[in-house]
Amino acid sequence: MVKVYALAVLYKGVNSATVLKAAYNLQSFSFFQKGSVQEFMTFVSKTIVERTQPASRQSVKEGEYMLQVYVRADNLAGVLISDHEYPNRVAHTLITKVLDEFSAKVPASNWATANETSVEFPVLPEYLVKFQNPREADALTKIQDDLDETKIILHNTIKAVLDRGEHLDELVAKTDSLSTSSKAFYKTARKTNSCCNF
Amino acid sequence: MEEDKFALVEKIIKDVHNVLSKIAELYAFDVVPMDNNFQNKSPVLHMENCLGLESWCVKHVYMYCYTELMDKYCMKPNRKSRKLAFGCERLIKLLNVTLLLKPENNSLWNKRRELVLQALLDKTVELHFSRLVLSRKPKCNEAYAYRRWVLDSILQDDTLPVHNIESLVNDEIVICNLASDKCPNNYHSWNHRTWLLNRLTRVKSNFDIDSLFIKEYHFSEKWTSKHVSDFSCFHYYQFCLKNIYSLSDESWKILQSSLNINLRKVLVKLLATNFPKDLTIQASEENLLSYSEENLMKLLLAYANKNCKCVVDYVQLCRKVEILFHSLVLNDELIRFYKHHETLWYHRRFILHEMLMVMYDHFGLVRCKGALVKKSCKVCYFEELRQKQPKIVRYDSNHIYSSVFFNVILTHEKKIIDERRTDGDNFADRHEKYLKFVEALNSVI
Repeated sequence: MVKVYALAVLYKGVNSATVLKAAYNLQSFSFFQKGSVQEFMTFVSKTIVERTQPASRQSVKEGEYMLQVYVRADNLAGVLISDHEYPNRVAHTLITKVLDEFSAKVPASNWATANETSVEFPVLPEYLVKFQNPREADALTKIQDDLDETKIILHNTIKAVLDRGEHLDELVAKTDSLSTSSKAFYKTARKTNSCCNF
Repeated sequence: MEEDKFALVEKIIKDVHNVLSKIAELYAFDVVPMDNNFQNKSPVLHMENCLGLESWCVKHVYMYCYTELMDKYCMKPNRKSRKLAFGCERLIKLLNVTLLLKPENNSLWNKRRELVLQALLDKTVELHFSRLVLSRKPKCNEAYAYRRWVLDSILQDDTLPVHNIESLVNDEIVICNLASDKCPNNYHSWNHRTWLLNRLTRVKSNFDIDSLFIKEYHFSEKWTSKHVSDFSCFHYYQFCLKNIYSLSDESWKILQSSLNINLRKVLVKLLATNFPKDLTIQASEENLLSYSEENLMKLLLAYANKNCKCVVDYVQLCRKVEILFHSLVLNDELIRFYKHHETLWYHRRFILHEMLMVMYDHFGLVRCKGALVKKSCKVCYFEELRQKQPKIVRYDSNHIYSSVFFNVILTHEKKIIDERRTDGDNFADRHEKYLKFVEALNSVI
């Protein structure tokens, strides 16, 4: 399956990352799961951005999901969550393009203080739809040669990205950004090992 | 304490039953993870036409219902079902709850079958119910089997109006789409879809199966190009390809007009770029386009060693070849774009196998225990069937392998194998080995 679940633009602050804009495609999840899945994707995006050095790219594989993250030197970050069949190179090209457009639309001085409601960037959902077909999206961007695939750091599990001694379970338990129902959802998904990303 | 729990479970059963009374509107069921009963509310959720049950109560409800079902309704084969109508409403309530929670239980589905046969359950409602089950467990084979059983009994009615069949088919296809989308490699949903199409060919009313074949062909072609490591959907695509080999002339025109490419051009382009250089074929792409089906096929498969008098349908043959080449070209693109996907290479094997079969078939040969032997035509040589088939002589096999058709395929395969190999795709080597040793082309590659 080639599918993009989420596309988000974040700002990597000194201590934590904030979401500036995000779009989700959660059709394949059941009605009662959607909320939790979305919360969880946001949480993971933030966690990963916080643990990515500026001016670097990472691809993290977790189960059947793939998380692509690019943090630019100016701390603007893009995250794309897809399944593992989505070509990494295309995903990173797309993130680059989205970030370029974002910085053209929203002045850099606003990034540090802005949040999801104050940022105007309505094209993100459109991109999410377009990117569902990587072959078309790839032709769309036409900057494919610029990207050196070897510079993307590949991780086979999310554990590899977390700092030493950190565990995702503990992070989930500690955080305030997930509701109790989402935490319960995470726990069950962990147990049954299905239907949940990461 | 126990009394309290039973009262609660009874209430849950009642609540679920109330929601299910509007079953035609419901489209999904799910268990919602919830550690404890925090709010002292009913755990039965009903929002936006979805039915949900909080997870903390699942264990109690299931145990309670299952025990009662087994004790009262399933364990006494001697006192037979005549009395069933008496507790039938209760039985249905329990079956609903238990099957929603755990649908992998054929005994309970069989109970429902009995009720349907006694006209105590409505077939349309049953379709709705199994749909709810599939919305939570898209890989549940028991639910698909039950749907097939219900559908089969509905379709047996020859007086069923065509538009009813159409709406049934649409529902099935929507369900299969959702299920295949939720679970990659969902063998059961694709299998169900295949069953549906096969079953519809036996429907006696004038349902337009050809247009469904065309629709499904388009759909599967699109789906496979986005699900590049899901062999279940590729298998369905192959099924659809085979379905359109023998379309009627009219349907073929519809197929062609609905494609945004010209099948003949695709074929001719691939031919022109792969013609053997030493041969004296001077035809250019434009020339080839003006060829009739018969001339084009005769160019590709010049020599026919048919030992029977059956007439070759060149138009049909040409269509089959066009479809296969189109599929091959699509596969080229996918293999280049999505690297290292075994499924794509497996599909390629299918296409090549089909192409070789076309060729052997045309030359009146069949592969038997590794060797090519002459195929005796069942129409013309009825009496010869009993005799042992003679081994093919060397001259013949040389002739096949020097045909333009074969050379074009071989050149094309060599190109793609070399190209993918230099790109580091290990499956290219495997593909070559497949051609050499499984398709037994070792002597010619």
